Amino acid sequence: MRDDRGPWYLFTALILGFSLGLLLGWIVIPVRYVNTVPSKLRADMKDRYRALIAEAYMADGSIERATARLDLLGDPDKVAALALQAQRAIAENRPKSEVQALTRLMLTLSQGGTPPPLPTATSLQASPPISPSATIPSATDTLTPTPVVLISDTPVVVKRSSSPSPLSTAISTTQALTPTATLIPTGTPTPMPTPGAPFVLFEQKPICDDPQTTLMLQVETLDAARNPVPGVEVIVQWPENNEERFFTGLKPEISLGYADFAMSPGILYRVRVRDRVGDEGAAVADLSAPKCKTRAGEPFWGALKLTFVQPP
Amino acid sequence: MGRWLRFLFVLAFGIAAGLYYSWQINPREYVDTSPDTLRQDYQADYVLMVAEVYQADGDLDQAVRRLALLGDDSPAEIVRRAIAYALGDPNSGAGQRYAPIDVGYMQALADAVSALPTVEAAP
Repeated sequence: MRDDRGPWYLFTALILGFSLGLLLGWIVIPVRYVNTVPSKLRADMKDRYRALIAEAYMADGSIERATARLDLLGDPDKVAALALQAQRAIAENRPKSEVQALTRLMLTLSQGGTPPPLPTATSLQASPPISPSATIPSATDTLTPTPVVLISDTPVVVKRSSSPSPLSTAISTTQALTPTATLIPTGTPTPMPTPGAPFVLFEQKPICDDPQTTLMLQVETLDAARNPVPGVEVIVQWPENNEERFFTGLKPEISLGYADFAMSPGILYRVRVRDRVGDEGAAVADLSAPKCKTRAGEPFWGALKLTFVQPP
Repeated sequence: MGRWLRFLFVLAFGIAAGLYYSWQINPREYVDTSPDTLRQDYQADYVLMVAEVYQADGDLDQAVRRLALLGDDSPAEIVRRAIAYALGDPNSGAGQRYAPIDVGYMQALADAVSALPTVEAAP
């Protein structure tokens, strides 16, 4: 009688065992990944990594090194990724230094590696980061009781080959640019002062000829030579202790010194601009959206453009 | 008895096959990792970035928070490991991988985090 059951019980054991194996392998003791690459980081960790790259760029001033590091994150458009993160950082009230670093790096990259005409001071000179002979850690460094997968990604292959990796390219470029001029760090924080006086209002102009800009407060910051200045903080305040802060330069397609803000009709605003070292110009008060009329005589809310200039 | 033995044998075979499939053929996707899983050279470069920023802003708290992303080891141990990588392994003949100035930044960070008071684990 029992023999009539056939081999079905073996099939049941196989299915049961396979299911148990999947449960163990995927849930209970999943593969523990080590030796991963930055491009595989979680999105929030990528943001932190990117911010660190930007701040390191502010410290060492090496765009080659920053570019090589950004390449590791695998962003299809590095400039866009930096601009988006800068805007997120502003919205999330991240530290100002982080916002400025992201903006600065984004602007430098958007200009093909040429730093924007930001007033800068001495910064730590870049030095070669990692030599092309960097080796891959051995598997014995990563032994764990759980199964381990050694991830091999492009950088590994590149570093093993004779062609230069992004990082080694950065080294050679940096070395070519600065063969001997390496400054010794002082160990003290490096300030980034802005030469010149605080920004002053140069022009206040209502804009009624472009319905697309309705209710827009446009701010442009220029240096003494009338070059746009990115990274300048704009502080807009309005009644009931409302305040919004943003930076120029996040819309480089318009101007490196440009920023804008959406006003509400009938509200009076107060605007201040603050340069990178915190010097603040005089506030411009009682600003509101201008009342305009179309050619047909219909009223609409226009835009207001403020131009701030840094006196020589 | 023989029937049970065969059952257990096939069950074990099924478990082994399931593990092989879930670990080797179709493991869980390795995206969304955290910095502590980064390869050693990337971790060392991460520490160098932290050291560069610390050199510029002197913010040790922030540096420690950033180092904490590299795992549960103490910040001093994390930086020590990175410096060891930067200096290369004299036994294997591999030379120094980082420029002396970069090692200097990392050493300054190591000195700073080593001076931090050690927090005892709660019982």
